[in-house]
Amino acid sequence: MAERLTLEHALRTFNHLLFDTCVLIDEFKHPSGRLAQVNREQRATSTVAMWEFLHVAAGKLLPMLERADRRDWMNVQGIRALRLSQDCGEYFERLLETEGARSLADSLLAAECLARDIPFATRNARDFVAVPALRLVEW
Amino acid sequence: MVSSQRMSTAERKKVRPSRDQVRAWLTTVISPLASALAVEHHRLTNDKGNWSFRCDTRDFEFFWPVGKMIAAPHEPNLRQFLRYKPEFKKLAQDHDRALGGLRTAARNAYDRLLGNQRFMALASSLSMSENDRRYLAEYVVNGLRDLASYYTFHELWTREGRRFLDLRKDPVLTSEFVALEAAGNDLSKRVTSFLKAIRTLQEELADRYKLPPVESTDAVRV
Repeated sequence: MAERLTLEHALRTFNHLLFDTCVLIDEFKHPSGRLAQVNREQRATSTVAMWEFLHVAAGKLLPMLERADRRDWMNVQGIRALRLSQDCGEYFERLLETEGARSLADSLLAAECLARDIPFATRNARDFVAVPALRLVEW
Repeated sequence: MVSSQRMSTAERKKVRPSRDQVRAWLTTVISPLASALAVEHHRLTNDKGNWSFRCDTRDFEFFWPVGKMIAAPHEPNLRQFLRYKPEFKKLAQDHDRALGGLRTAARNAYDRLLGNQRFMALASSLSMSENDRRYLAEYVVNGLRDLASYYTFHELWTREGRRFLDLRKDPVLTSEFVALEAAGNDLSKRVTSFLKAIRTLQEELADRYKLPPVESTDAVRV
């Protein structure tokens, strides 16, 4: 089972917090103010979430203007897109034999967090509760 | 006699930091500060007047107190850096004080707008709900002329934005916006001097200790 953390505890303990795609989209469109609680230097996501952030359904790229605005927003917010780490593959393979996350992208995001030992911030925590040892922050 | 053995703050300031300390400062304090201040500086000079004030939080999206610019686990490094470099403590305090002033001015302007008769009449004429009016007031505070096409109120703002923005010149509101502008100019000055000082120090320390000014990262270019 995943472990739930408060945002405050996650920020005090870990150097980064990895944002799920839903967090990026929601905070870009309707800033909730929660992002302001996350120290700028600790904001991170994965290239997997970034791919989703820049595409719409069926893999279609967003219009150029909105894509540019989204990239600019990530830069200004200091959200770094972490490369897939070497250990991510290994953790991803381990998820093959578990209930794991509910989609390929979610499984890669969870594997990345496990590989880097950083918490995962998402609005869909229930989709990740079955991932063993994953640290979850509900957004 | 523990107290006499402990180094006083004044004595500590005179001690030259070690290479390890400087490396940690460059990576965890100076580089993050330079990055965040550069964003603030760009915003205050190139996107002047758009404060990134958000109605949901009644705060700014793209201006941060100094403590929020660095990672929370590295706060002790910031405190040590400021002990060794007290001139930067003043720059940090001045920055946060000016940011607080801008926040107060933006909240005042926002609150006065929401309660303004002309604003309410304009919003009512467009059948805007109480909740949605907050966004229009936010746009006025930020002096937003154009709203990107993917925003809910893009069409409305393209059509009616000018009428709302004219409220900034309304005699009963103008003092709020003059105060907002003045607070923004004050923050701009503080950010400029802080950024200049931190960039100079970044270069000096990196050269003197033969360290890279910034560490390489495993993040992709956004």
